[in-house]
Amino acid sequence: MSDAKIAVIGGGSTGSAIVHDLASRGLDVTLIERGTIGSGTSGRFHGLLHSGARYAVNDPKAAEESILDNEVISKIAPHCVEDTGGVFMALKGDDQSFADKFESACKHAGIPIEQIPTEKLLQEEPFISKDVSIAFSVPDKTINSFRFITSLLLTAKSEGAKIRLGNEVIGFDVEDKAVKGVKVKNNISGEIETLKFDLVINASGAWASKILSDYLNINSIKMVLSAGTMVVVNRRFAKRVVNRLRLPSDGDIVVPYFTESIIGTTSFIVDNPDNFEVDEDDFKFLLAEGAKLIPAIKEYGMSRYFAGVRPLIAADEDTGGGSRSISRDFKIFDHGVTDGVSGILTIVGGKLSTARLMGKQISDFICDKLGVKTQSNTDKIKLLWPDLSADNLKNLSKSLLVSESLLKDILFETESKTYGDIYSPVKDLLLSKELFS
Amino acid sequence: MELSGSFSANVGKDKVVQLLSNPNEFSKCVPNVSEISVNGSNFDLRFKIDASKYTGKFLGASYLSNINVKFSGSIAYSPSDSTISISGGGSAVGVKFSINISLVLSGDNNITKADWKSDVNVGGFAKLFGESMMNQAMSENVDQIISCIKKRLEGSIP
Ligand SMILES: Cc1cc2nc3c(=O)[nH]c(=O)nc-3n(C[C@H](O)[C@H](O)[C@H](O)COP(=O)(O)OP(=O)(O)OC[C@H]3O[C@@H](n4cnc5c(N)ncnc54)[C@H](O)[C@@H]3O)c2cc1C
Repeated sequence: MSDAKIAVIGGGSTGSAIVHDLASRGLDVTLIERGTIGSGTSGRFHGLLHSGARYAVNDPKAAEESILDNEVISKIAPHCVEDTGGVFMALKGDDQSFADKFESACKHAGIPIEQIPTEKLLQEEPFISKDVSIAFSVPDKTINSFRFITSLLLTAKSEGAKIRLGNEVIGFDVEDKAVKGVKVKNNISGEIETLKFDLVINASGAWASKILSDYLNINSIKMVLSAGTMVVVNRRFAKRVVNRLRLPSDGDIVVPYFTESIIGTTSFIVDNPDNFEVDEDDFKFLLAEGAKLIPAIKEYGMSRYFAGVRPLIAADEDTGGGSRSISRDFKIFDHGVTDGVSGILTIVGGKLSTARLMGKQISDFICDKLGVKTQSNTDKIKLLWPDLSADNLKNLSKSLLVSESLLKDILFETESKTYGDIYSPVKDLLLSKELFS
Repeated sequence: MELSGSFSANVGKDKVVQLLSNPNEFSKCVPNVSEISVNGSNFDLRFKIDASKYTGKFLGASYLSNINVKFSGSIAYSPSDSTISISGGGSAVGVKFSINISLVLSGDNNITKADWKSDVNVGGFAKLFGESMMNQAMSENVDQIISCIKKRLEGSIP
């Protein structure tokens, strides 16, 4: 077993999955996140646990990875997943010949797919457009990213990982072209300290290249930041995720998320992930495209919108053999090889749906480097979520500093109090505080 | 970026002017138009282009296979020098571009030659996809549009 101390920068889905994987193999790992859970893209995504169908035609490898982890995540984190199912539907006037290509690409990628007679679909999903001409069902699901990341971190914590939320990396400790630690600022107290590590993993998503260039003068990762706007309608119209049957394109999906519907997305390039403007024309466009799939959307309009940013990295970038495109979807850079600065790796790309897989792959890479033989087991470890029972109310109330009676009101519904839906996010937030206790 | 070329169609000049100076007609040669609104000589277009060949160079960018393009422009015809000018600007994936096209028409009642020149400013895209890829994309799309215009003029497509 190695006694190397490892830091992971970024507590989105990627960083959290890495911390869990490394901690579960017995390694000494610390997560450093400048904000709270979901402050990055993982808190501003579409909510989909991909079946892979969306990518089957033009990115089969990404489709295969998605379906693999769709099944794994549903097993290890059932409390984060709603098995909505998904439908891909063509409308009259759409290119109907795409259906055959789509069906065979899904089968090829191992995605269970079945054609649904349109009358049956309309019976089951009465809000769907009557203009539907062909429909397929696929195992798309939705995932609550806040719960998922909290669960990953609670599990990692139970495995010995240290979690530092509200801690921003503002520099590196470098000796002889080797990273020996990170300089962090506590964003609440303002305190700055230098922490020593043997290896640092940069999993800061859209911020990854900025951290490298600002603090290490490493400019080898050419990243383009691609943002997407999503519009929320305050009503759920379908049990299933509703996708337009065509090549991936703007405005081709309506995701039922709890009691709301999220229509997405648009794509636009931005310079700064912390500060960018959304084009208000996109709201009208998304509502119009959404209404083609579910006409009732017209009657409701937008209740709010949000936007997230993902990094795009050139697949064929020449990095002198130091980067590994293990997947068509994400890439690992070993800066010792690419830039002559050892002790730091960067992982970029991927999806929330494939975070566990990304965590496993980079941990395999690290374990190879450190000579650790323990295999990843994260496809079998059930993720922790605090147990809600009257028995542990006292302990929970103590650790959360919330009175027992208020906690009772929030956590338990009775016949007369059906606070369940109203308090659901409050409940999640409270439970996530277990991370700090 | 400047592109130029010429084409001939076996129709009179009037017919060419009619088609090219009418946004409703002209837009039939723009790929996958989803929205068009015309106000006199001004028009707004929304269309999609298959960009998978270009965005495919990025990891996991298959969601950018089809990109939406917004374009607002105006068309003017100057009979004195037989020139049609189409100019305007737009954006795709949030990156702005502008286009100025001029077509000088010559010929007789049976055959019209159009010498066209376009000045396209795609600065942001060149940064994104590389200069040579942008050149290729532009000339492919222009070729397609020109060949469609020629076919429509000669009546081989409605
Ligand atoms: C519009 C859109 C829709 C999407 N929809 C889906 C979907 O439906 N399903 C799906 O599976 N995927 C989806 N994705 C992709 C998915 O959201 C991302 O791949 C995933 O969330 C990325 O996680 P991450 O951990 O790499 O990045 P992030 O979640 O952004 O995490 C990076 C973290 O690093 C932190 N950080 C930055 N700088 C510092 C610093 N200096 N010090 C410490 N911490 C720092 C940030 O605060 C942030 O929390 C979508 C992406 C977009 C843009």
